[in-house]
Amino acid sequence: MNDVSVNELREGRSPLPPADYIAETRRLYDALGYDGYRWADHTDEPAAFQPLAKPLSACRVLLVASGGIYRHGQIAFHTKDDTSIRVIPTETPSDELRTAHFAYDQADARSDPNCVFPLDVLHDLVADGELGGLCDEALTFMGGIYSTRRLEEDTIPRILERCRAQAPDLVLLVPV
Amino acid sequence: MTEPGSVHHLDLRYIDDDWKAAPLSWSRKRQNAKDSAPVAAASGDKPGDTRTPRSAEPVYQTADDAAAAALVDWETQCLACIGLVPPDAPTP
Repeated sequence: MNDVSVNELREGRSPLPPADYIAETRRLYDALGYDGYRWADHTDEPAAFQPLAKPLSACRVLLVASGGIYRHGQIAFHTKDDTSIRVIPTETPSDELRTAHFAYDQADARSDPNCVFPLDVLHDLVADGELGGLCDEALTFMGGIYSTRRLEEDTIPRILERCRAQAPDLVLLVPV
Repeated sequence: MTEPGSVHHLDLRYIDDDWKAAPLSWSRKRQNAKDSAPVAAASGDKPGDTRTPRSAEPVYQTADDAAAAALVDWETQCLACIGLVPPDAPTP
């Protein structure tokens, strides 16, 4: 493993290596005796990315996050293929945000929800003029869904419906 | 940022990068640190599957959250919670 530190990166030396999740996932499934992890394959579909039609400073941004964020007063996510989503008003104070997930260590996210739901950061960027504004709603879901089919048939259509209703210029997806 | 290809450098500092050697192992490390009985294999049927067990019950961060959510009226549904199944609904 490359032991280059963050300080060395700042000094212009070799970049830090990424975490090899693909190899680790394959190794884990092999070790458990499964036939092999089957990745979702969408190579036959056109890429959904589009170039920005206006500067960021004029863009209205929709935040979508998969870290299981919910607001105090909402029903928390469960961890067994929960395909529901939560709608969180973007004026929600950070101290009202909570997390419910099983596939990552939530300690840092619960200390600062911006780790997985950078709402305060986005507000700051709007205030600084870097972004044009935020949509009234942000969308969250619990991304630890083992069923690709249920993700595609349940969660994604729900997100798309709310996304289209907000009509953003830009969607920021924060995966966990 | 108004042009593609530009990068903003953030003054971030990570504790360490050791976790990258085994990015999926945090749950096993947490379990191995305990002296309790082995984790129930709720994530799979394979022996030795030490992944974090999953549950069909909402997992609240605090008891206060659970109390607040208990006030949700399932008849009118939580408007901010889309796709939820009421607790007494038949299992598909």
